[in-house]
Amino acid sequence: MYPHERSLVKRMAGKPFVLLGVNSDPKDHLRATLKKENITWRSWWDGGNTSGPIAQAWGIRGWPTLYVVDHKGVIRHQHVGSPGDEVLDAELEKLIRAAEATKE
Amino acid sequence: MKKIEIFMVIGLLLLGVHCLGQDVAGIGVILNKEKDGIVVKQVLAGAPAAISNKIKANDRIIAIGQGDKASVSIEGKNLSEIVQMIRGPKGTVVRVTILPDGKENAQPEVISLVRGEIKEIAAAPPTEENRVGATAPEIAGEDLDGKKFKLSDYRGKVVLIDFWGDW
Repeated sequence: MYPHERSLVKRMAGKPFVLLGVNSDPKDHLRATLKKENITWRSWWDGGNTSGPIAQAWGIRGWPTLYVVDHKGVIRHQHVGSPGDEVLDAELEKLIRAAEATKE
Repeated sequence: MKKIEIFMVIGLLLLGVHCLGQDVAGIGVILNKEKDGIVVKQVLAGAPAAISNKIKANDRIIAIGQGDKASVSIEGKNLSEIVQMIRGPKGTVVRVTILPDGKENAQPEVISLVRGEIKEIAAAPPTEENRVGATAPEIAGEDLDGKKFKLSDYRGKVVLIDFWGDW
């Protein structure tokens, strides 16, 4: 996931897009991963295990799980496991174009 | 290619759920056969593997032992045979030998787990609040440095939310 996410964030810079993580690792582990993998996007820290409050509230049962939310805050896609880079890119690009079109 | 792989994995999971009887339990991992061997694709929340915090996605499974019996190499076995070996009566012990992160030079680790019921967890429907087409429930929390932020701070942007762990 990391290389694709890095390129996604870079490619979408300046566009109405943001990647946000909800992370289930212990704090020291997360800190090391952010550094090692050069992760620049923000993550909520969800209590250090897979039973954290955010994962519980969203009913997450597998990792990774991805949600694509449009510019109005509506959930448009959900994926348990990566759907593949091309599928995800196409979904995001379509919604980003819609977000740009509604901008004044 | 990747997409097909994921569908097969999910297919396997669903099959597993239907086959599970009252007394058959597991450890809550989704496995996939890859060129290097049997790899953990996902760890299901709330199940024994996740609770142990010792098995992560990308770990490669190399042997399985029942209770206190000697571990058996899984080399040459197919996925359904391996799933059979991992499953068993609820409350019994299964010992899984893994290469952490699938690294060939890693020290193998033996993880001892008590099998538990995974049916309800795997079969639970998505919550009403976060189904496709619904307004995303608010997420409010803190990052690693304790800085508070909310999902609604990003309204106006397309947001990719990634529930992740280091796997």
